[in-house]
Formats: sequence, C-alpha cells, structure tokens
Amino acid sequence: MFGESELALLQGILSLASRPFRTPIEVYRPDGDEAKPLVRSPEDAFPSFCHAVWELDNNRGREVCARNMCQRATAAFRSGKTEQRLCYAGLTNIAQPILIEGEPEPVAVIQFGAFLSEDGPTMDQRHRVADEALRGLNATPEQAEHVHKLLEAEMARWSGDDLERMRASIRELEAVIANYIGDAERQSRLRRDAEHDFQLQIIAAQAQAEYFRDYELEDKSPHLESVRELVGAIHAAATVMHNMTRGRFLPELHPDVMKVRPVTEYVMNAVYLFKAQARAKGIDIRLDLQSTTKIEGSPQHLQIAFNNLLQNSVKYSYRTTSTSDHRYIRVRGRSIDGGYEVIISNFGVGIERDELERIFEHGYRGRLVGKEYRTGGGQGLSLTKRIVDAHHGSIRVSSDRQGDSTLDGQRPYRTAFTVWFPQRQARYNDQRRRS
Amino acid sequence: MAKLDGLRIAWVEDDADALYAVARALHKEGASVEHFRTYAEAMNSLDRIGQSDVILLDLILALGNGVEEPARSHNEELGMVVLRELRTRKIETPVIIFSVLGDSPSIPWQQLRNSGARSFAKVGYLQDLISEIQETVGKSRATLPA
Repeated sequence: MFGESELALLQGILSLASRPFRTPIEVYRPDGDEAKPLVRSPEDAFPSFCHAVWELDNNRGREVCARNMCQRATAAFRSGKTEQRLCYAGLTNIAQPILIEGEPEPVAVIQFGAFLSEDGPTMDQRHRVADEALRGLNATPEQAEHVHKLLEAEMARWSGDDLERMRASIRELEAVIANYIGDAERQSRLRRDAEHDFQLQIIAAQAQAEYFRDYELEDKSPHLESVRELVGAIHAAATVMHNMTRGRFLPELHPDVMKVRPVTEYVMNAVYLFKAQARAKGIDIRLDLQSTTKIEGSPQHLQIAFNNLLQNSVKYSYRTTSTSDHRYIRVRGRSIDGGYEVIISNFGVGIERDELERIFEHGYRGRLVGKEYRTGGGQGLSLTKRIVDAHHGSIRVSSDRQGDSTLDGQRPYRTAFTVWFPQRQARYNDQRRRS
Repeated sequence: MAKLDGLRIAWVEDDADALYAVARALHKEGASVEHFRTYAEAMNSLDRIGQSDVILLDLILALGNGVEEPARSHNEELGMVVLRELRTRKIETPVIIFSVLGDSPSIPWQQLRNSGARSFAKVGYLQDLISEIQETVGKSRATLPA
C-alpha cells in the first residue's frame, strides 16, 4: 500500500503531531488475522510513565506494551469500532479504525496512547490495573512507587483546556490521516487491479504463443525459430512485469516448488528470450557451457534470475556498427565448488567501480546507464540477487573499461556477472525429510 | 500417448476466456476440462468439482450471482474460501493453486499447503504446468489406499 516516500511522510506527520503532546500516535495495518504496526511513534513521544514501565523486568515492559498495542489495534480491526481501553499499565488508549467506501473491513487503525478520558476509569481503577502490571513485571516496591507517582503526574498533566485542545487537534489529525490512508489504499487497489489485468494479458499471450509452438507447428516448420523468439519476447515482458510486482520480496521457496533441472535449460531459455534483440543489435551470444550439471531450485525464480541477467547484457551492449569492433555476449558455465557457475559478460555501458556494490539495491540504476537508456527501473538485478540469496548462491559483478578506442568514440566496458548456485538446497531437503 | 490422457480437470478461473490457450493445450494432452467461472459457480458445484482428478484453482475470483460475500479474513481471497470449503466437506481431490499471485507474500502459503494445495505461478511455462499436473495426480494416486 505504501511506498518508502509515503511512509516517510506519514511518519513525519505523526512525529510532529505526537511530540508536543507527549502522546504516541501510531498506525496499524492488518497482517493475516492480526494488526501489525505500519508507523510507530518516536520513543520521545511517549510520556515518562511509559518509559518507566518499559524498563521493568529487564526491559520486558517494552515488549508487553508493544504487544498490548497490537492487541488493541487487532480488536479494532475485528470489531470495526473504536476501542477505548486502559492499557495494561493503566492509561487510556484509543484505537480508531479507518474505513473506506466499498471495503467491508477497516484498512488501517490509528491508535492514540496515554490519553485521558473524562468519563473513563477513576484513578483508583487505574492504580489497580497498574498494580497488576507491576506484579507481572516483577517490580520492586521502589519501582512500583515510582510508577504510581508517574501515573498520578500523567493524569494531572491534563487540565480541562489542554484536554480539549488536544482532542480537537487529534480529531483533525485523525481526519487527515484517514484521508491520506484512504487515498493511498484506493490508489494501491487500482494499481493492483491494473497490474493484475496486465499480467493476465501477458500470460494469455504467452500461453497462446506456446500453444502455437508446441501443438500447431510442425518440428520442421520454417517458422519454428520465429515462433520461439516470439515466445521469448512474451516471456521477457512477463519477466519485466514480475520484476515490477515482486522486486522487493524475497521469494518463498517451499519444497513443493523446488525441482532439479540442468542449469543449461535455464540459460538456453533465457538466450531464446533475447536472441532476436541481440541479433538486431548485431551481437552474437556465444555459449560455452561445460557439463549439464543439475541444480535444485524454483524453476520460475531461477528462470527469472537468468532472464534478468541476459536481458541486462543485451540491453547494455553497444551495437555492432560498421565502424566498431564486433560485439558479443559470452555465456560461460562450469561445475565448481559443489555447484554451477555461470559468467555472463558483455561489452557496452558499464558500471562505475564505486557503485558495483549498489547495483543490486532495489531501485538503483547505474550512473552511466542514464546517458544511454531511458527505460529500466533498477528492479531486475535486485530481484535476481534476492533469488540467488534465497537459493543460497552467490552473485558478483565486475566492470572494466576496455582500451580499444573506436571511431564512433564508444569505449565499452566489459561487464561480467558471475552467479553460482549450489547443486542441492540442504534446508529444503531437510524440510522434506521432516515432513 | 498424450501426457494427461483421460484426466478430468476442474478449473476454477474467472479469466478462463482469456486463458483459452491453456485449456486447449490440456485438451491436446488428452484431458477434459470443466470450467467454473466464479466463486458462486464453484461453491454451488463443490461435489462436481470434487469428482475431478485434479483442481486448478485461481485465488482471485469474481463473486458471481446468488451467493453472499463470505465471512473471511483480510487477506483471504475467494479462491481460498473455496479450498477451505472443499476440505471442510472432506473433498480431498488434489488442488493446484494456479494464480498470478504465484509467490506473492500477501498469501498465507503455509496455510494453503496445510490444506494439501500445491502452487504454480501462471507466469510459468505451459509445459511446466502440464508436468505439475502429472506430478500432482501421480502423487495423489500413489497415496490412495490399495
């Protein structure tokens, strides 16, 4: 629902609003059957009373407090109504669900803490609740006395006027946040539906092309190669779509989805995807794949990883021109260290030395790339790295400027991605044995 | 011999028209495919769906006519409700979740797998889907009592 900038803005608003009152204001989102915090309050927005309780029992008070807030937010999600309750240590808290039109359940909950309610419990009742919390957190008599004093002070902090002012501010804030979250949620749903639709159309095209290739075309058809390239082009589009929608996540690799297949199968599939584009640029794809070592992994994810690496190599290769040297992409593979290593190298737009590490970060695009290409979202390599990590493999990149100067002034970098996958996924085999 | 000879497949999918090439491929491999296009249609045909050899189940389904929106948790898609209902009725036909949500972290995969479902992302290759169906049915038959 929220991107990083939207989250940062929300965090800023909540921090600004909560600090002057020294009362936490947080936003929770549903996560499965429970509510989890989306934006937390800064610690200095909590009153001294909360800090004193947190420190009890070797800081166990902090966990109890966080759990208590999640429970209250969860209750508001489930009931769809405002939950006004004492926290486990005796302060009044309000969990306010945010409902948007057309949604049966709240999309978020705003929670205000340490909030005095005029018609709420008496001080005696608050002290009794605090006593129970203090016992549960093994407070010493001195600690207990200190906490009770802070509770009195917290309640005394609010005069009638202050309380009214705070309530008015919080009502305004609540409306702003509810609008903001509602808008973000609606936008997110529209985007998700559009993505879904787009994905479906790509998948439909992919299935039709594959159907034609596998069931309509004869093995010796002169069109077979073109149709394979067509299938490849559609899979390439599907890969870009996958990068967009899953680029941030570490894939879950359950034993069910793990298959043992030759690495060469993934490489050859990826080559087919980008062969036509490479040919159009006058670039050969030269293969040197030793052995047919099989590796265990999720075929869908491994294919996406190799697709992304091949796509980058083709996209960022300089084209062969009448005045330039002949360009090529080399794909080398060998069995090594109990796994299989593939090195994909090309000549073209490079990566500067100081950004080699950053090139796998989500959303990072190399500095040199922008001068040559407008498109690209800095997501493919990030997802590839996540896929490699999920398979307990490794990936690294090198990029060195080549000495040959050509008439058109392009001095290419030789960029090489080296990716290694182990043959077996121990963790998943263990899981399988246990199940 | 075709790879899915004689297999009866129930496909719960609201976008079956767009994906007709998948059904044609399954036919070419010898399977018969019956479509259930909405949540309502699936819920009204659970027994019939259960008589198939394997169920291809989409997660995001249109509600359809004649049923009420079911009670469900925040991230429970309608396809998951269909699966829940199948298992509640002791219909143990193997299920392959066939969805664009493939590996989406918003889906409680473990919960689905506990219901005996396997998953296959729609972005995979057609031939891989056919292999997945073969494997799933093979495993299911291997576990049937003699």
